[in-house]
Amino acid sequence: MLDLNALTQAVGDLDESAVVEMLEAFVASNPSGEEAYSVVGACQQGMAIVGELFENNEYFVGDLIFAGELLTKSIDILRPVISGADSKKIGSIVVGTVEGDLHDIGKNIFASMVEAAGFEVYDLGIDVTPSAFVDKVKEVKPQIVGMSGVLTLAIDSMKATVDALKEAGVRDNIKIIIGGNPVTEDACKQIGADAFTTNAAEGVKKCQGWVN
Amino acid sequence: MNSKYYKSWEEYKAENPEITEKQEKVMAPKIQTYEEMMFGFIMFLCV
Amino acid sequence: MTEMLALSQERTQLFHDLIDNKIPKRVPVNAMFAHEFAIQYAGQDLTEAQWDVNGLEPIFNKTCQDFYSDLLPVSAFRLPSFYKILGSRNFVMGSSGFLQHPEVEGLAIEDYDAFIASPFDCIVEKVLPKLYSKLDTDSATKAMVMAKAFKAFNDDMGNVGRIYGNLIQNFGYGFVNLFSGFCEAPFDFLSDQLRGFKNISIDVRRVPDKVEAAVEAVTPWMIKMGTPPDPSPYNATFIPLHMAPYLRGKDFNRLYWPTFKRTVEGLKANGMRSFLFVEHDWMRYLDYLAELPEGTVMMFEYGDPKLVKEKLGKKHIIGGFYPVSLLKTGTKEQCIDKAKELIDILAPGGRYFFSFDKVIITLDSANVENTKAVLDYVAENANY
Repeated sequence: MLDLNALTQAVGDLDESAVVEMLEAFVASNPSGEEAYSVVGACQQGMAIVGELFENNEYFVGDLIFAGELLTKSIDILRPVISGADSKKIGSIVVGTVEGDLHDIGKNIFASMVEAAGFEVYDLGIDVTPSAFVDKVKEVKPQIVGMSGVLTLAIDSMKATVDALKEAGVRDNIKIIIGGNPVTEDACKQIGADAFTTNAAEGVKKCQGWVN
Repeated sequence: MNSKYYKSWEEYKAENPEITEKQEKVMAPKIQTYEEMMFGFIMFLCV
Repeated sequence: MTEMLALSQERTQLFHDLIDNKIPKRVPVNAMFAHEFAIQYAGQDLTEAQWDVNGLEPIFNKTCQDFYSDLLPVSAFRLPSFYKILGSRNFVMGSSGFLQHPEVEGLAIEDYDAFIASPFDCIVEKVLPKLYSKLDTDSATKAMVMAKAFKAFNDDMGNVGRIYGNLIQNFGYGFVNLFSGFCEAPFDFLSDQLRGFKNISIDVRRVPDKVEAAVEAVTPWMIKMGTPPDPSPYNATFIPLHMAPYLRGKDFNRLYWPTFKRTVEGLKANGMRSFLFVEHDWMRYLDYLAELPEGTVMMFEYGDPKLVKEKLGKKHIIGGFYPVSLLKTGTKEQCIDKAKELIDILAPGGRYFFSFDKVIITLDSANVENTKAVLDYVAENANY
């Protein structure tokens, strides 16, 4: 069984070759579902280290993107030995870039980090209409909805989305977090969201706080 | 500048030795201007 | 006309003084509005107005009439005609009429070697067909598409240039063009349309040797691109800086800085100073910026103006820092106070022009009354 602390550290260090070597050896050793689950946990803890290093200005956005890629690759290697039942999710979240806006880099960073933190993520992509958000919320009943936007017009789309969720009678069952360049405290109030952030790591912490 | 798709005037002249000195005076500014414009357009499409 | 010419000359002198390291009569004002703002301000439809370039003249007139500036305050950098003809994947008009830039990959990872061997060949052969769907076809069709697109580009940009000339004459703007040339830092060129933000972030970790070789290979092409046919020490080549704030210091030091510095120095050798739009936060890189050739123009988005003035204010020409967001949320008084604050920090000793922290792109980015008030205040009160 591999050294979980060493794996966590390697993920935190974004040492891809070390992580891949450890995981490939682990999978080849024919582990149990329980062992595989704890390895996934070790990877997630590594991602938490990444988040901290980002907040301490040792890692930067480029590193977060690479971390997302590393985590995806890690899960791909582990996939044959992870059974669905073992991956306990702490909650679910619907994310999307709002209508009229085609930018998604920040949203993608947030989505991969919040997935690493144990959420089931439903990513609606870009240019998402209010009704598409409503339909997904009705379908999967998430705890949280995350809206992203970079253009100033995104603020209007975010407000329209919150209004649509209210009208559909689902607003009160969820928490709403908004992210992106133009989001501020004023914008958050105007839109009717529960929280706002321009920092993915901070956003993840907020979401974790809501489901605990 | 190493490229199949951009020539300096010297390179163009080397490929077109029939151009006389008299012709060069009137041709070069025009032909090279179009070469530079095309270069500028292509680079603009990449930024 | 003579009155306007005299005004132009007076304003030109302000900027020449900055460049010649003399203290100008007053702090010059460089307001910048994108054509999208101008169209919205004139109450026109974005989805239509960008197709009729002649119609941009009365639209620009309105912005020029109402907002003070010492240099031409309007620009149309991208127009939809040629992007549409080319089937652009990287510049797409949203339903609102804004040309937006979705993430694209113009350079596949397997094409790094071809790019390193000959960047321009690789751009023509491999990158353009990936960015522009109508070029991803047989050679005959491709030739026709290129011909039409180039004609549209030349017509529209030529027309826009003609309009700029009229505006400069009619409104008496200074004869200094900070957008006389345009290029990018080699790392940004490799990132923006070629590898994309996500891919380059991964490349920096996985294939840094290739990234290094690629930025080296493209540097002479950036210098060439940024050198206009008529270099002048009183104009500048515009270079927007993108990726540096998202990199770790050691990656910046190895992969971004050396070729960027060489590009600025290469432009200088060709007779052009650089006008850097220092986007996002470069505070950890100020000592690097201090190494650039004397008299580089730098407009800052974020940061500490005191520190910038201290480290760079003697050698370089500084602008920016004024948050456009304050124009939207602040009172008129708060907006003017902010201008006073920045002028007090940045103006002493000269080498400073007043500008906002970014180009104003949309009508809803800023309260129009506040914007006018701030520009008028600086024009009338920032005397040396």
